[in-house]
Amino acid sequence: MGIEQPARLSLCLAADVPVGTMRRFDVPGAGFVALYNVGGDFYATADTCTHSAASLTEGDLDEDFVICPVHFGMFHVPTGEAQGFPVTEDLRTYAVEVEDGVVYVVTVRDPA
Amino acid sequence: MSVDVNDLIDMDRGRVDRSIFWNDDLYQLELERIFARCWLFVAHESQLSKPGDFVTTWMGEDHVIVVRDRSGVNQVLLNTCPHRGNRVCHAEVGQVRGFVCNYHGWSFGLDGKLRGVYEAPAFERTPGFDMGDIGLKTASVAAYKGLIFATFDPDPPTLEDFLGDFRWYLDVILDNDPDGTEFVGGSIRSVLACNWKIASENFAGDALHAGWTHESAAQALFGQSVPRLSDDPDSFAANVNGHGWEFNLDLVGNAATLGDRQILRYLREREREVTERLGEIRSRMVGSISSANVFPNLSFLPGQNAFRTWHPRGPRTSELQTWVLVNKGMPEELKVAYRKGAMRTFSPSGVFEMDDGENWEYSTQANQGFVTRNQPLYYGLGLGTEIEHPDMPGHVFRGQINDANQRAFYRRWAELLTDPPTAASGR
Ligand code: FES
Ligand SMILES: [Fe+2]
Repeated sequence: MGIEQPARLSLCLAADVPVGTMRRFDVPGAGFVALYNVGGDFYATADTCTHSAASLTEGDLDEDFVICPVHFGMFHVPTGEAQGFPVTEDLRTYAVEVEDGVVYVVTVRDPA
Repeated sequence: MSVDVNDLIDMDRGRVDRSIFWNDDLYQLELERIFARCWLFVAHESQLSKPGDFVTTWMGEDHVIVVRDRSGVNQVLLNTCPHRGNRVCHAEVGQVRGFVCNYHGWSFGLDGKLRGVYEAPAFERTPGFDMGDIGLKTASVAAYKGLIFATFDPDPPTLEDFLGDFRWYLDVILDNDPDGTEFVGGSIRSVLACNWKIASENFAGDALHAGWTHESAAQALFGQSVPRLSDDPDSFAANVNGHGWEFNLDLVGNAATLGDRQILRYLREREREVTERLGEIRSRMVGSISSANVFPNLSFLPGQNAFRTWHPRGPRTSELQTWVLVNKGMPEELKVAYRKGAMRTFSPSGVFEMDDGENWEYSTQANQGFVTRNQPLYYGLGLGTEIEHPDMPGHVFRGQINDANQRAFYRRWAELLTDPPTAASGR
C-alpha cells in the first residue's frame, strides 16, 4: 500500500438524482458509493451498511438520515454517523463537488 | 374423525346436536375447512393509509399482519418466521419499514420477502441458502367497499362470488354515502367463554332475543322497551351463502339505542338522499333494528355501527374484537357520538354486550354435562316461511321470529366441513 491520493470522478448529472432521492454507483477504488440529494445538497457515503452488508440505497432516505433496508439501522448522511443499535460503526463519507451540473465524488486512491 | 357431520344437524326439521359447540375434533376441522378456507374480514382500508401502516389480527387461530406495502398494495402475512417460527411482529397496530425477527435477526419486507439476514457475509459462504426461496406465507387479499378480506384457500372463489347477493344488503351500511366509510378509534378486545358459532348465529338471525334479553338495559338506557316484534309486520330474515341479515324497515330502531338525538336527526335528514342512492327499502334499513353476520365470523349491527369478529379460541372460548364504522363524510361530532354509543352498548362494559355474553357462556358451558350435550337443540322457528320478494335478493323470509338464517348458517357450516381440502392446499 502506498500513499493515498485524492481522485475526482464524475458520477452523473445533478438532475439525475432529484431532491430526497439516492443512487448507488460502483466507483473504481472505492467500491459501492451512495450519492444522496438532501434538500439540494449532495452527499456521498459508502453504500454498504456497517452492520450486516446490505445496500443502503435499497433502504429509505428520510431527510438527512439513511435507513438500512434490513435491520433499519440509521446513519446521518452528511457525517456518516451511526445513530444507534443495531449500527455502531460510522459510514465512510466522501466529498462531493458539483460543477456545471455534473456531480463529482472525491475518493482517495492508491497511486500504484 | 368418526362422526358424520351431516348427522349433527337436521335443518329440515330444525335440530342441532350440541357437540358442535363442544367437540375438539370438530373444532380442528373448523380451523382447517372454515377458517383456513373462507374469505375472512381482516381490516378496514381506512386503517392503512400509508406504506408501512399495519394492524395484526387473527384468521381463525392463525395470527396475521395486514400491511400496506411499498407499492400501495395491502398484504396479509402469516405472522410467523419461516426459520424457527417465532412471531415477527408483536404490536397490534403501527407503522413499520419491515419486520425483523427477534430470534436470529432475519428481516422481511412489507411484501413478506426475506430481505436480509444478520451476519450476511457468512451466509454468502453457506452452500444451498437462497434468500429468494424464503419469506412469510401470504394470503390472498381482496376488498369490498372498504372492508379487506383475506383467505388461505389456494384456489378461492372471488370475494364477489363468496359474498354473492349479500352485497346488496352490505351496501346499506357500506355505500349509503358517496364518500364511503371508515373505522373510528381503535379496536375493543374482550374474551367470552362461548363457542364462536353461538355469537355468529345470534347476529345472523336472532331478533327474538332482543326484546327479552335486552329489556332491562333498554329500560335503563332510554326508559322504554325494545320495540316488540309482534308489532311490526315488515320484518324479514334474508340469507345468501350462509351470510345472514335480519331486519325490519323502521329506519332508526337500533340507532336509537345509542341514546343520542343528533344521530337520529342525521339518519332522518339523510333518508331522501339514501333513497335516491339505494332505493326505498334499503333506505329504511340504515339505522333499523337489525343484525347481520358475514359467514363465518364477521358480525355487525347496522344501527349501532359496531363491527366485530369472533375469533375462535378452542371450542369453548372466543376472542371478540369490535370496531366502530362511520361514514367518512359525517360531521366529526357524529363520529364521536357513534363511538361513544358503541362503547355504551356493545363493548365489554356495554349494557347489551353483558346481557348477551352471559347467555352465550351458559349455552356453551352447559355442554360440560354428558347428558346435557346429548340433548338436541331446537332450530325450527319459521320453517316454511320463505317468500319471493320483488326487490330483496337471496333467500328471504318474513317475520323475525325465525331461525331461517341460523339454519342457513349451519347448512353452510356442514357443507364446508364435509368438503375435504384439495391436494393443493398443503398450506
Ligand atoms: S426464528 Fe426468526 S430468524 Fe430464526
Ligand atoms: Fe343481543
